[in-house]
Amino acid sequence: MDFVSYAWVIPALPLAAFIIILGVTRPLEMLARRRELAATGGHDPASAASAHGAPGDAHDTHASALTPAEHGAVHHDAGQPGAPGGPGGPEGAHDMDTLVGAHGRGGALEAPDAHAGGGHGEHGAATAPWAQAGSSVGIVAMLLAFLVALGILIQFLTTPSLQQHGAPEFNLYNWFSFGNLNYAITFHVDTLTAVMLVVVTSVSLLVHLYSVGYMAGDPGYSRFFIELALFTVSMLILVLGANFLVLFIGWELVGLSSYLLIGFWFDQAPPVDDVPYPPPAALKAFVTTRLGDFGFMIGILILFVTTGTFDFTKLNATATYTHVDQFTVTAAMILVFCGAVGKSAQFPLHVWLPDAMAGPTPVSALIHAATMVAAGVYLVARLFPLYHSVAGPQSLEVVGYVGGFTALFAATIALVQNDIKKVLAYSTISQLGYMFVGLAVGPTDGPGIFHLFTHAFFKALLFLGSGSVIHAIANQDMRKMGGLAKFMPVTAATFLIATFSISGFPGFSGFFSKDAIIGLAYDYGTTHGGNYTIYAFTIVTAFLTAFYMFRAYFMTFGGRSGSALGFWGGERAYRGETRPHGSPWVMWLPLAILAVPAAIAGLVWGGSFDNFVSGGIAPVTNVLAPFADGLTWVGIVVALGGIGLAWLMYGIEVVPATIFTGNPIGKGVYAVLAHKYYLDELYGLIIKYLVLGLASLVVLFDQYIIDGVVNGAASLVRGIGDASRRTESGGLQNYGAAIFGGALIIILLLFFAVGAIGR
Amino acid sequence: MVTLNAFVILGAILFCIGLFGALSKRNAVTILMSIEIMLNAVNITLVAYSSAFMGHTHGERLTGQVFAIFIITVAAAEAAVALAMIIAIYRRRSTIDVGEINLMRW
Repeated sequence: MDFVSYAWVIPALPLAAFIIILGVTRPLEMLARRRELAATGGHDPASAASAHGAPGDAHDTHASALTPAEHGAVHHDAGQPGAPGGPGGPEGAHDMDTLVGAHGRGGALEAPDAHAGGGHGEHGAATAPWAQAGSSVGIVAMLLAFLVALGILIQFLTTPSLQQHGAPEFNLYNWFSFGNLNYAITFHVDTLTAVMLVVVTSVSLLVHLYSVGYMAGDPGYSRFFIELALFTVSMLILVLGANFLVLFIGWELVGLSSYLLIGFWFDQAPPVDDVPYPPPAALKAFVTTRLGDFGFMIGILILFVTTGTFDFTKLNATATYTHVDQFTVTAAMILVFCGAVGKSAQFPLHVWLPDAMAGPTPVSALIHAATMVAAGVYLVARLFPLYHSVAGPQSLEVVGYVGGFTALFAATIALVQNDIKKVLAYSTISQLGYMFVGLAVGPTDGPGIFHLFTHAFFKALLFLGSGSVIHAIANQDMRKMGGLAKFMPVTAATFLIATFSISGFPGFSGFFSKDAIIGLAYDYGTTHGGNYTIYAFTIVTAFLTAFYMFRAYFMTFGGRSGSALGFWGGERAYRGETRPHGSPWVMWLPLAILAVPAAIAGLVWGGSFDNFVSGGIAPVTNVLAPFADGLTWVGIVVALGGIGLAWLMYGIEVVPATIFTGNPIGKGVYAVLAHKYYLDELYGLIIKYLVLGLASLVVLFDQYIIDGVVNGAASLVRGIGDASRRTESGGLQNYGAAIFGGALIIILLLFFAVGAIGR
Repeated sequence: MVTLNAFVILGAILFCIGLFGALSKRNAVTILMSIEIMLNAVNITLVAYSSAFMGHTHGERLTGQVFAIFIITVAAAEAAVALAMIIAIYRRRSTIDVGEINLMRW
């Protein structure tokens, strides 16, 4: 069956789900909720739990000691005396979500740095039937989309001609035309797109399934699935686009979806300390990526002005650039990379990603690990022929150095994070840096994209696993965890697999992708006059990655008093207060499914992925070839070193952290890292003084000059009117004088014309 | 011998006197009288030009004098109409001061 010609179905399916949930199931759910409230007079548990706006409520601190099943009752009590205004009262006009919203301050608030489990819905509360219907629609749509995407990939794998040239372009809609130039919404599927389609649809499907469990009972359940569907449609449009216009539409839409999803719990009570709070975090994400988009748009326009086209096939063909200055192209490509820097959270625009962890964990898994942040990598890969062959070497140098530096930079910050989601966030930033390094030093876009492919799976697995943990103990601080392997074995096992993968342990998928990049970085250094900076970045980051990921694993699931030499900690290793419980099948099944590619994708596809994605340019290599190269063993030793150190420090806990932080230098370094190199403070100062200062200057300009001109024009007209009105005085003799004067002038003119007087 | 120039200048002076009166007097009847002066000044000028060209080779030109008779007739009619208007205005506004007969706001 020709799946490729049905590629348009893939974004159409989640779009249909979006429309159905938005237009049908959610309104019906709201109706049902209203009816229920009216019937019970506003005293049912769901509505009474309106604990919003009650930070530091004393009831919450007690809640941490209770089992999750009792949270509902506690909120019930907390709500009753203090429920402001009552649900049916003056706020009747509000969206039901905010009225009924106990975004569960699920306990563990007594320590200032233990971020409450984000309020992921009340334990024990069931999801309304219509809401479940909506999520089922979403899941079915994503399943079908995934099957089509898989079909397309298989078709590509079995048809060499498709691999070389890609599928024919699919014209969806003729947008506008100037003369004989047509701009259309066009989809084009080639090997890169086929891979991305599978990644996006599969991770989205698994996140949809997972969210059924994670978001159960949350009043905004339907809204969540609506926004997930919107995101998926946007991402699919982005990867399917055949020209910059379509890609940019998808680009902006994913930015919007990210904003909506990060700020999902927008009426959560403000925190008392530095934990990410949804509304400003969402805004920060949007504005920071916007900064990158500014450079991106200028880059696109430069390319358009010099080549006259937005289409990727034409832009990637070197023949288009015969009369274009290489400097211009290089500058344009660097500017386009700015967009990638923003969207993929590279230095210096990385600051939004850790704060984006304020959103629900499935969102973090889907958007900020597997797909949206990969959009920047996809962009550079899509334009790879331009970067590689047409623009000067500086463009790829910029990509490589920014990526490499960011990888190291983020890895150092991740070393000292105590919030499990923040560790994963910085890890994502670091791995994205790896992907950019891969694109910069590779002969094709294969290595970078392979890392994107493997990273999507193991990072999504890591995030979903952490979500499982957060769901179980309503807490994100790793210092309150430990030994959870005993309570949640599936989560622990899959998390361990993913951690091995990301650390580059031999045999797992991450090893193959990272090793390829590190090897290429070394070759790059050799061919560029012994400049091994990028190689140094990658190898040190590999060590740090292995270390902090296993630190996270051990602090969460392992511990000294456990079994399997600290790998599989037990009850005694648990440092928290709430009793953990296992997750429902909808949550651990995606974990199990994701563990498969996280483990074996490298073995299955490591050798021929490069060849596939580059359309046959790169050769097929033997999957065991890396092991013959001595350089690979350096990487393996480094990774094992990181794992070993983490094991000593956090697994069997024989080496205390004070070895590093005991001395003054160590303390200083720790402080700098814990404050993320004070970048957020620096940006705050820049915004406060530079940006707002400039803004007030502009305001003055607007007030006095622009408004002055406009008001001045009006005053001028008024003045002329004032003066002119005096001619219409109504006085007889004034009129007489005017008549006489006019006649005099005409007579004089006549005399002049005839020549009777004057020369 | 009284030249043509003298009559024309006389006509001009009379015209200016009439114009001055028409534009600066406030009494409507006075303005009427001034207008009459202007009309008569024009008559003088016309008749002067007419008599200056009498007895020349092209024959007699009586155009000016004929025109002057027309003007007298028109002046008489116009004076009658104007006086009727003034009486009507007086009956309505109790004044014939042209400065007062003004419906415009400022």
